[in-house]
Amino acid sequence: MVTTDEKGPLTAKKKSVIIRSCDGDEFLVSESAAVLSTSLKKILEEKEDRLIHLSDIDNKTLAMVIAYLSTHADDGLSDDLKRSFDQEFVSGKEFDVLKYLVLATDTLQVTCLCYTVAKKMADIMKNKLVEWVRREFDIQNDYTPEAEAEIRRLDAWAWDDRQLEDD
Amino acid sequence: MAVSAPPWTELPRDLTANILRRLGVVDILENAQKVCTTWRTVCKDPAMWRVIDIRHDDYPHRMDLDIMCRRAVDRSQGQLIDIHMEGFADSETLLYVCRRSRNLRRLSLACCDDISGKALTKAVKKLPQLEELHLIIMLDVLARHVKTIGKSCPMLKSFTLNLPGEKPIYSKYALAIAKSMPNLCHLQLFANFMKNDGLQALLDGCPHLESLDIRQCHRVDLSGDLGKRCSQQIKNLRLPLDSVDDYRWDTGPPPYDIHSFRDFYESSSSDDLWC
Repeated sequence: MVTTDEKGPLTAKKKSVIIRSCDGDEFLVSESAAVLSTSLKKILEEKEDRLIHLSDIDNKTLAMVIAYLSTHADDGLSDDLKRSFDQEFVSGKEFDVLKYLVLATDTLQVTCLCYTVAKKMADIMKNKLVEWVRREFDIQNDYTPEAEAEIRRLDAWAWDDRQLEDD
Repeated sequence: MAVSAPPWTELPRDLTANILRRLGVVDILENAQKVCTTWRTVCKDPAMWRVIDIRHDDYPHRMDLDIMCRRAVDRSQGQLIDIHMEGFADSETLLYVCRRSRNLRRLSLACCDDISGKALTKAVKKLPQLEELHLIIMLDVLARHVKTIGKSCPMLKSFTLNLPGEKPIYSKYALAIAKSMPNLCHLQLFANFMKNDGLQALLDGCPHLESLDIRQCHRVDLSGDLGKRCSQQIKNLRLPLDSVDDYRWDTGPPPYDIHSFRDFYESSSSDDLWC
């Protein structure tokens, strides 16, 4: 299956690339969009082949990344529009979707998107308690009770210093 | 076939650091590092602490930001290159930071009423690599402190000075900058009372200036040759009456002084005034 990116069928003049996800879906992407990813740019410089297979990115995530790349490669859009697209892009997405995205942007070296997604993830975590993060991110507490007590002891500094001052 | 995402703890370490770094000092120390041993290891890496930004407004109920700041600096193990402290630091904290951060390139202080000018001059002496210094709404910084700072930091390329309720001592600050910071490329002197002699001295004393922001400096008169010289010498110039919409700090007194008031009265007929 060949899916064109959002701007519809590409004109013959523009160079394009086919990118295949790990589950076999193929996406037709303009070269100007593809080279916004440092990894794809390197691959394109090294080989003539216009088909790139990405063995660790699934079709849903790849479609999102390509939508991002195509928008940012569009010279007709102002920087303001691109910025609001970025905000829209990460809003309302679930943790797992963001995790796939951040991994994909890391692999593909799309620095701006990696930054935007990492920032979004940090914003979600901000001001949340340890237990909340463990539960929502499905992270096991692997501290031994002794280690946890030790941390509590080490992190008691703030409280201790305050008390000293109050005295 | 969908790829299953690895658990959070198995993300590449750099990527985890990239995410956690954006949480800020307080959230990392209070929460993130306690989640699991992997995250704790990431949070202990000095590379995580090269940039520190602590603002009281983000944690209005916390009284221990100075201690948080010190712990963050401890973790940087001398690798700190950029710090912004806003609304909490005192002289002791500043000295603590600077004594441990010889590699600091950028120091930004805002609304830290408890930092004395004397402590500031003492602190920057420990920072031979300092390239950027921003002093915003600092009560106790005098012109002589500015001069000492300039002499202690020969690498200084960017300087910001916005002092609240500054007394009308005219061009003293500008002259201090002109005399002591010859390598400046970027200068913001916001709502300063300097007059034309101060601006003239800046243009002479800082020949590498590329950008100059003198918004709200209403005592300089740019209508003559000095204005021309400014626009010729400075690539990026922001003038006294330019918009302050993108400026997040207090924008100072309204744009008039006694002289313009007098002009206004003298040039207006009583009819104009009262109708």
